[in-house]
Amino acid sequence: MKKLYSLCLGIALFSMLNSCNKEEKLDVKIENYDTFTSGPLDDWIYKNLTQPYNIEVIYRYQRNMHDINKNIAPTQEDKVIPQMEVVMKAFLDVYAAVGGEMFIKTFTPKQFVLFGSGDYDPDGSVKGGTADGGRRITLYGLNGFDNTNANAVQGNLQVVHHEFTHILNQNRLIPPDYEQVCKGDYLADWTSSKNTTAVARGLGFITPYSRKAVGEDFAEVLSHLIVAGQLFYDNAAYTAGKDAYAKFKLKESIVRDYMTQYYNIDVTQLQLEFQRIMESIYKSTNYTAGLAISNNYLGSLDWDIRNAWGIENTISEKQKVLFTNILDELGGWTTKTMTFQFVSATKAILNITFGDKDRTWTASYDFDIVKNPDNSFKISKSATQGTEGNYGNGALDWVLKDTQPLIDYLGSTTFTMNWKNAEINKNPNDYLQYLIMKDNKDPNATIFGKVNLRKY
Amino acid sequence: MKRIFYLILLVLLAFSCTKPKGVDVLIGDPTERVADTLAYLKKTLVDAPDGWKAYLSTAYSGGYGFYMKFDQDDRMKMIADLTDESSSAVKESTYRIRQIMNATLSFDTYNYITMLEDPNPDVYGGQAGKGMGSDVEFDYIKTVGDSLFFEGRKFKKALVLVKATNTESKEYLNKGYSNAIKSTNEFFTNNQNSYIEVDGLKYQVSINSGTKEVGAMTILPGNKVVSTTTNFYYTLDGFGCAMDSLASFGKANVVSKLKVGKINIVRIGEEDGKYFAIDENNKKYEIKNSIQPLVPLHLLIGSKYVGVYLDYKVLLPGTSTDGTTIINRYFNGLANGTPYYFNCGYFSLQWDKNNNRINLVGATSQSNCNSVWNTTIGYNYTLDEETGIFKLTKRSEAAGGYAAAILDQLDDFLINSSFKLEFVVDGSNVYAKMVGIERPNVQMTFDLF
Repeated sequence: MKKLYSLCLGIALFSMLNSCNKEEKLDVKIENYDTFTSGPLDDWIYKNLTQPYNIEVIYRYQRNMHDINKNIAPTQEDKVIPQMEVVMKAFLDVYAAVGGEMFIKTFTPKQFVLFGSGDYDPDGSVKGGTADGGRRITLYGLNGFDNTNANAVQGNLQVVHHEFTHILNQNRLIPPDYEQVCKGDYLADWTSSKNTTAVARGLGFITPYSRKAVGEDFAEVLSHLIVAGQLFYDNAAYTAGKDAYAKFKLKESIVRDYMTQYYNIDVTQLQLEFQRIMESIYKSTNYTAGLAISNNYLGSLDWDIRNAWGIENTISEKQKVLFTNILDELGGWTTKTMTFQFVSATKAILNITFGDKDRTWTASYDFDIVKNPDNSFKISKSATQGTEGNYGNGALDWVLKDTQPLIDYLGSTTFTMNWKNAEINKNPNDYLQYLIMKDNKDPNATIFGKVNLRKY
Repeated sequence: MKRIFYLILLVLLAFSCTKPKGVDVLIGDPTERVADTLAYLKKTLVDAPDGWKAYLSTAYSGGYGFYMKFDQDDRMKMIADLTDESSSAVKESTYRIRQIMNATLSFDTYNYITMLEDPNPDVYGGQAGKGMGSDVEFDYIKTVGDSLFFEGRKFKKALVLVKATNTESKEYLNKGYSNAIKSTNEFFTNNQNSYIEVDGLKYQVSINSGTKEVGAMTILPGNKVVSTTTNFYYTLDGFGCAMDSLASFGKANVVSKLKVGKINIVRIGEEDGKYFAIDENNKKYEIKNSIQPLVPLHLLIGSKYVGVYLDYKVLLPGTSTDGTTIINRYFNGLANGTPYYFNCGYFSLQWDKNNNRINLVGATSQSNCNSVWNTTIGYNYTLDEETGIFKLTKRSEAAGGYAAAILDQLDDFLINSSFKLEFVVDGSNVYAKMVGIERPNVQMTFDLF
C-alpha cells in the first residue's frame, strides 16, 4: 500500500511539473501604434542632437510627460529650435569645451521634454523645469521664450544647468560634508512666506528654493556659480553676513572640489566659457566689468604695480609714469601699498600707505564714480573730502606733489571698464582677476588693477 | 480514505493551470481592432479633400468654431473664431492619431484650439492653471453620417467635426469666416432687442460674444421671466449651437439646441441680409428687432438701467400738463425758488434694487452745469412685480445741497401717489414714462441711463 501511495505521489508530482508548462507560441504582435510622421523639425533634432548626443527631444504633446492633474499647453513648433539651440550652445557646448566631448556625451540628459505653457501649481507658483531619473529634463513655458532677450535666455539656462547638476549627483553622490554645512536649516515647506531670499541667504543658502533639500541646494550653488556668475555669488555671500559668508564659501569649495575630483572639470573654466557664450551669442551685459561696478560687486583694486602681477602683465606707459611717481617714494618715505577701494556704486577711496619699517601712515582721497549713458565711467576727486587724519595726510604739500598728477588725470577723462581677457585652456586663472580701465581719450592709456573681492 | 483525497487533490492540481485561448473569435484580436480604428480615423480625416468644419464646447467659456484640414504627414491647418487673427489667418501645426485609452486625436503642437487649453491667463484670458477648461486630446467616440464625434479626455466636452464642402473650404480660407463673424456681431449690436415670434410669444434672442453663449428669454403672463442659454460657435452665415457634452450619447444626441418654448433652435443663419433662427425641423423664424425692450421696464430698472433723469429744461414726449408743472417747478425755480441764483440744474431718480431704495438727486449749478451741488432725498420702495406698481415711503430728508425747496412738488408726488413705469418710443429713442396711480394726471417722461 505504501508503495502504491508513493507511486501515486510520484505520478502526481510528475504531472505537476507539466501542469503549468506553457508551450504555446506567442503569436500576438506587440506593436507601438504611438508613432508619428516626422517632418523637417524632427530631421533637425536628429541631425543636431540625436545623432551626436543620443538626445531625444519630445516637443509634441504627451500627457504622460507631465503631472496628469495639470493642464499644460503644447509647444509652438517655431520655439523648438531656438530653445534647443540655447541648450546646445550654452550647455552642451560649454561642457564639451571644458569637460570634453566624451564627458558630455556620457552624462547629458538623454531626453528633453518641451511644453508651451508653465506648470501652474495651486499655490500660484509656476514651475519652469524638472529633472527625472538622471535622464530627462523637462522645460516648461516655451511659448513665451524669446532667445533675443539675454535675461530670458539666462533664466532658461539656470533651469537647464540646475537640472543637469541633479543628473551629475545621480551618478556621483554629493559628498557627505556638504550636508553638514547647513545642517538643520533645510525646510520642506520652502515656499512659506517666511522663507524670503534674505532669510535664506542669512542661513547660507543662495535661494529660498535651496532650502528644500540638500540636492536642490547643491544644484542651486553650481548653477548659480555658472549662470549667475561668480561675482553674483560672492556678492550674495558677502551681503548675507559673516556667518553665512563662511557657509557660502565652504559650499562653493565643496562643489568645486566635487567637480574636479569626480569629473575633472574646473568650475572656473565653466564660468568663463559660459560667460563667453552669453556675451558673444546672446549679447548679455550681465557679466561686464561696468555692471560689476554699478552693482558694487567689487571690493578694491590693488594698484601697486610693483607686485608680481604688475610685472607679469602689460602696464601702459601712462600708468607707469603716474604710478611710479607715487610708488618710488613719498616725501622721502617708502610707499608701501596703493589701493583703490570701492565703497559703493558711486564712491571710492584711493588709499596710499607709506612710512618706514616701524611706522605707517595712510594718505586718502575720496572719489566720485559716475556712470555715463554710454556705459563709460567718470572718476573724479570728490568736492568734499573726509575729515580724518588720512585725508589730512593726503592734503600735505609733499604728498600732493606726487599724487596730484594722478588725481588730475583720472578726472580729466572717462574710462571704459574691462576685464582682462581670459580664455579656457590658456589663462583661466585670470578670470575676473584684473580690471582694466581704458581711457576713452587716449587709446594707449589704461589703468590696470588687481581685483580683491570683499571678505570677512 | 485520506490518501484518496490527497490523490484527487494532486490530480486536480495537475489540471489547474489550463488556460483558455486569448483571442475571442467574435470580437477579434484586440491589437488588430485598435490598429483598425486608428487607420480608419486617420484615413477619414485625411480623405476629406475640403477639410472639416468643427466645433467644441469648453467647461468655462461657451462654444468655439473651427475649420480644420488634415494632411497625411501629420500636419494640419486651422482657422478658428477665437480672435480676429484666428478667424482670418491660417495656422499650421502637427496633429497625431494616438492610441491612448481610445483612438485619440491629439493636437500635439500649438494651434488656435490649444489656446483654449492654455493655463496661462495672458494667452486667451482663461483661469490660471485651467484655461477655458478645454482639451488638446480628444477620444474618438463615433461616426454619424458625415460627422465625427470626439470627447475631450480631461474636461469631457464634445468636439464635433463635419465634412466641409469645396465652397465652404474656400470661404474659410479666404477670410469668409472673419467677415461672417463681423456681420453676425454687427447684426446683434444694431438690433439690441432682437426677437423671434413662436406661438404668439415674443422671445428675445441675445448673444454674449465674450462667453460665447446665446440666450432666449420671454415673459409669460404674470411677468414671469423664462430664459434658456446654450453655447454657440460662429458659422459662415451666423452661428450654431454647440453641443456641451456627449454624456447623453446613445440618445441620438446629434445636434445641440436652444430651447425656445416648444421648439428647439439649432442654428442662426443669414439670407439676403435677414437673419433667421432655424429649428431642428428646418423651420425658419425671422429675427426681428423691437425698438423697446421686450421685458417690462420695471424689471429692468435698477439692473439694465440705473434710473431716469431729465437734463436742464428738457421736456420729453408723453409728459402731461400736471407732469410739466412738477418738472418746471424745479427747472424754473433754479433761478428764483431758492435763496440762491442757479443758472443750470437737472434731476434724477436712481434705483438701488438690492436694498429696495430710490434716491432723488437734484443738481444745482452756478456754472452752466460744469460743476454742481447735489441734494439727495432717500426713499424706500415696494414693487408689485405683477402690476409693476412702485410705492414709496420717505427714508431720509433732503441733504447735502441747495435744491430742497424746489424738489417739493416732485417729493410730494412720489410720497403720495404710487406709480408705474412704461417705455415710450419716439423714433429710435426709448424713454421711460412715470404714470401716477392715485394721481393719474401726472405723467412725466424721462431719459433712461
